[in-house]
Amino acid sequence: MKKSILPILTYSSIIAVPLFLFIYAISYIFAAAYMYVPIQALLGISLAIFCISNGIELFVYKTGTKNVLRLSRHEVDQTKSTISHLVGSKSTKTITFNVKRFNNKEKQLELHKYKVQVDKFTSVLTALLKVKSHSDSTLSIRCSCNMGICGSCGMEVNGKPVLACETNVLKNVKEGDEIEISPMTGHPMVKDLVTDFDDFFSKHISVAPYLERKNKEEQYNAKEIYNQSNDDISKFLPYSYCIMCGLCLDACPVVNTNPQFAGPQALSQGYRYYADSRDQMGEARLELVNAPEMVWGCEFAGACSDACPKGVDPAGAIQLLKFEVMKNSLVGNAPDNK
Amino acid sequence: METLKYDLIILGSGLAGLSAAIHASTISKGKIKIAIVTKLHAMRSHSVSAEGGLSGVLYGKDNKDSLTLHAYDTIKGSDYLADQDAVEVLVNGAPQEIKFYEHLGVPWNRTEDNKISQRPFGGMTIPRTAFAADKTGFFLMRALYDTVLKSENIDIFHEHYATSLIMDKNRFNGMFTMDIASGEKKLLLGNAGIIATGGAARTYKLTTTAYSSTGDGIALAYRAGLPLKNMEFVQFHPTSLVPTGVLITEAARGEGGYLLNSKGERFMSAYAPSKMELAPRDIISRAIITEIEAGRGLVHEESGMSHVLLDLTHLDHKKISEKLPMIKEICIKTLGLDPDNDPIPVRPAAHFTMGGIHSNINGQVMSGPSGPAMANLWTAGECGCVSVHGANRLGSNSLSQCSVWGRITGIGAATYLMKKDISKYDESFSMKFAQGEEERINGILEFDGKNNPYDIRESMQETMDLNMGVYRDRIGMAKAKKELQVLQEKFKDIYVEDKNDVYNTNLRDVLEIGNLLDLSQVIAEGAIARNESRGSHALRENPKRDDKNWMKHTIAMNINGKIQLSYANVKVTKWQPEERKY
Amino acid sequence: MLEKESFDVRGREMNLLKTLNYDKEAFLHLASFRVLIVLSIFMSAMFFANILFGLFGGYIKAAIVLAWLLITPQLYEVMKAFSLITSGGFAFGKMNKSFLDLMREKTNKLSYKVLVALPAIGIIIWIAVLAAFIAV
Repeated sequence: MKKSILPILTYSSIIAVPLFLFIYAISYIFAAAYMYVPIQALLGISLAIFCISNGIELFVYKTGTKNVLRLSRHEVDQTKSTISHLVGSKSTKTITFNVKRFNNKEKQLELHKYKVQVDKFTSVLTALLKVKSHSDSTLSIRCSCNMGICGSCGMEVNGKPVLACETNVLKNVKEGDEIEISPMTGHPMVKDLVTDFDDFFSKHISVAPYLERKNKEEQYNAKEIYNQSNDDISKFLPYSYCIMCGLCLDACPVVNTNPQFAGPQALSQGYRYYADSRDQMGEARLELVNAPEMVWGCEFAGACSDACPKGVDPAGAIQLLKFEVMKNSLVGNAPDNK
Repeated sequence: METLKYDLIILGSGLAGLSAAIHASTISKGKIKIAIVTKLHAMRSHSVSAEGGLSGVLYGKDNKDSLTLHAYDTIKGSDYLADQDAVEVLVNGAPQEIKFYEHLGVPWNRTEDNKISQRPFGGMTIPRTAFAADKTGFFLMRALYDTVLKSENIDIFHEHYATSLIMDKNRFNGMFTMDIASGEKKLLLGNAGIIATGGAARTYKLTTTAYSSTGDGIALAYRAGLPLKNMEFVQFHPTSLVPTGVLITEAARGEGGYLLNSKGERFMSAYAPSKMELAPRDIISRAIITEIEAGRGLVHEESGMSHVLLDLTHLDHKKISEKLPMIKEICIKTLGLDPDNDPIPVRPAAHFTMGGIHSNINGQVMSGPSGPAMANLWTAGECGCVSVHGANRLGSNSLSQCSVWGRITGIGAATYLMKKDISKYDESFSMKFAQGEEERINGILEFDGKNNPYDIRESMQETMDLNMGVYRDRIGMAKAKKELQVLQEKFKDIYVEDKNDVYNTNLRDVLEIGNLLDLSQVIAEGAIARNESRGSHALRENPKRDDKNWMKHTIAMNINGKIQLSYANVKVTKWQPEERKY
Repeated sequence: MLEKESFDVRGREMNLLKTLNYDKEAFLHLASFRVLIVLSIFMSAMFFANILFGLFGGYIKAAIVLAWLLITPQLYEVMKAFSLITSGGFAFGKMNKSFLDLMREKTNKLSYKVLVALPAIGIIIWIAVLAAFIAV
């Protein structure tokens, strides 16, 4: 119960402030003057609680944010052309790729321009690999499957986090036949378009993202399959589509302003295992996420679900998880069949 | 250079590698130190792209299915080149793997009465492929990676590229790796090793595989003097999306899809009248190419590629959303076509490497064409060749193979390591080797020749596509061999543009291209020598199977820089070779 | 020995401007929320000063209107969250489309449609009352 005091204050003030504003306006409209002072007092109290609890939540729990790099843009304008190898292709267009590459020696984002010939089906990844093969081999990109399932090629195209292998060039071209590419600034950057995932992986591990059974030997020896219906599966299925691409953390405004926040990916996986009827960790799972930098850091901006390429809906998962945590800390043990 | 010491080093983090780690850790009760070395992040291995399913006889009595039938289907599918004792191990072990994965959290599709659903697949008499939507490989990888995180004794080395195996007197001592993110060289010493790096289909230009499927483990073993087996058998998956080559799963045909030519006919009736679209993959790929060559194919406007059509429009839309959602998303995102309403353009593309590192039934790497087996090195998954798939693999048998041999090699390595008085790695020998290897890699970084290594890669891939494809002929293969030799010479005079330590993908690509070139030469050599058509090796000049002279495995070894071929017998137990008709 | 180095630009409130590129609604929601957090303590002080010492009389209505406008995005999100949780993640969720196809029977129910309409109705009432408040 103690852990939940701050979220209880935060959320009740978020409900109380509009409630009292509404009552004040209604009393004002109907000229019920005897209500003004009491409601104004309640409003004052709830505003104060609102300021203090949300202020602590947002601005104080950022301890440990060290060495934030301030970037200034420094342009290295190199316009290099890339020969097209599109044999038999009818309609090619020349597009200028404005690639902001992170220079790890200068610790700056540098703008490099490359001209590439693309056709109707060329993806951003294919075009960048063409640049790498024929124009500038020093361009570092992370890629593997080319079909949007491995999650390696996350980057920002025109400021929006996307998977490069799934992003069509011609559908995303801006005026002047230009397209902007940059690394995901919502993750620590290593070089060019490559970001570091260590932080991301450790946040994932912190929610115990695996199926726990009380009888570990039985889990390993697997004599009979667990009894689970299609209905049970549909409770957690979309949340299990997560490919760990990191686009949701790049999109999340909370992660970008407070890197201590666990992030939508880890929390959605926490919910995925909680909602799986085969998992037997129960209440302990809710305890893991019941912290200001875990589930309570989420402000339901919803940018993560928009960015997710697989439709995992982490924002939805986190709100459902918040409800479960609150229910558990107020009502008691999570029931066995959830 | 950092030196790190482990008991077991697993190279590769796909299904085989991760399951080997879990089994080794559980059997040893967490006592042995395991390192998983992978050149990507561990959960991004190419195994995630597997779509169709995992085959296993789960409900034999209910379905009128049996282990014997699964084994027969596999052996007939392999065109009688599979080792039959190994196939029996595969079919016996597969059902347990399905249950094991279910216990790790995989959401297998279920029937109305909560049993695991199984669907029809190519070459299988009875439906026995368990599936999780059409992202089976992805779900298996998530469950395995998440389970690996439970163990404290497993260290994962993300983005570490292994450049060399350290072998001394037929013993594995460890491997030399490069941390891609920092450029730091790390020597990993281990008392046992498992190679599970996957296949080498990136030797071809049109391929369903990831950019990372460059056969590094196979090439490392080859250069270390270990034998490779059956490399000339490369499976071409019949339905890859035009123009990108992305895989459209066999399950699309399993759920009832039709293959149509330009006349709108289901042309498979002429090639496999009883199985139609569910014949084994080599037969369908050849059928598609034959139709295209006879002028009954269509041409894709943008890319100029010839193709046929995969028609799913007559299927229930809800069924597609339930069992084939990912291919629907891919078609819409790539081509703007919805499979519910329009047929999709497909053609064969390089997909799977039936061949690999020569191993015995326990997954132990053999030190020569007929053994003896190495004491402390195993191989599992696509990069190993036991051989269970022979000359052609049936769909959904690969996930079974990776899981079963992941378990066998993991338990084998753990049992070996728990014995008393096993000899340890030779540290001084390894250090000396590592110093030489570091100089070699730094030397490659300095290369300032005149050839672009990416151009060499593209030429190699085009040559392989043209001459070592679904149909092969003597003139084409000889041309390929000559061109590959020219490319090897050119490769000695390349430039490496990126001279930095940090995240040098240029250097990593150059090392991969070297591996691909070596492997493509082995593929060509084996194909030229095999004077028959069997499974996925289709020789135009000799379209018949020759059991009398050629029912044997091709073994290729690196002797003084040259490829030397020899042959090994196929193990036959119960099933005598017959004509392969569907 | 070479260590892996990475450089982090996260941690500054100015990074909020990044969301303008792909989700203007999220930016409006978070920015107005943060502004309200800062202003709310002043408003609270003002209200108590007004009750106890009779100060700021003319500014009370303006402060109410300002607080009203600043909290509107947050109120809308709270109503959306309520609908989302009550419908088990379907209302205002952005789940995988193929999965939603299979869940049609959940989304065709009347109770679901009511939950989807709720936040819109709530905001309409909210703005209507504000308009009436200003007019009086």
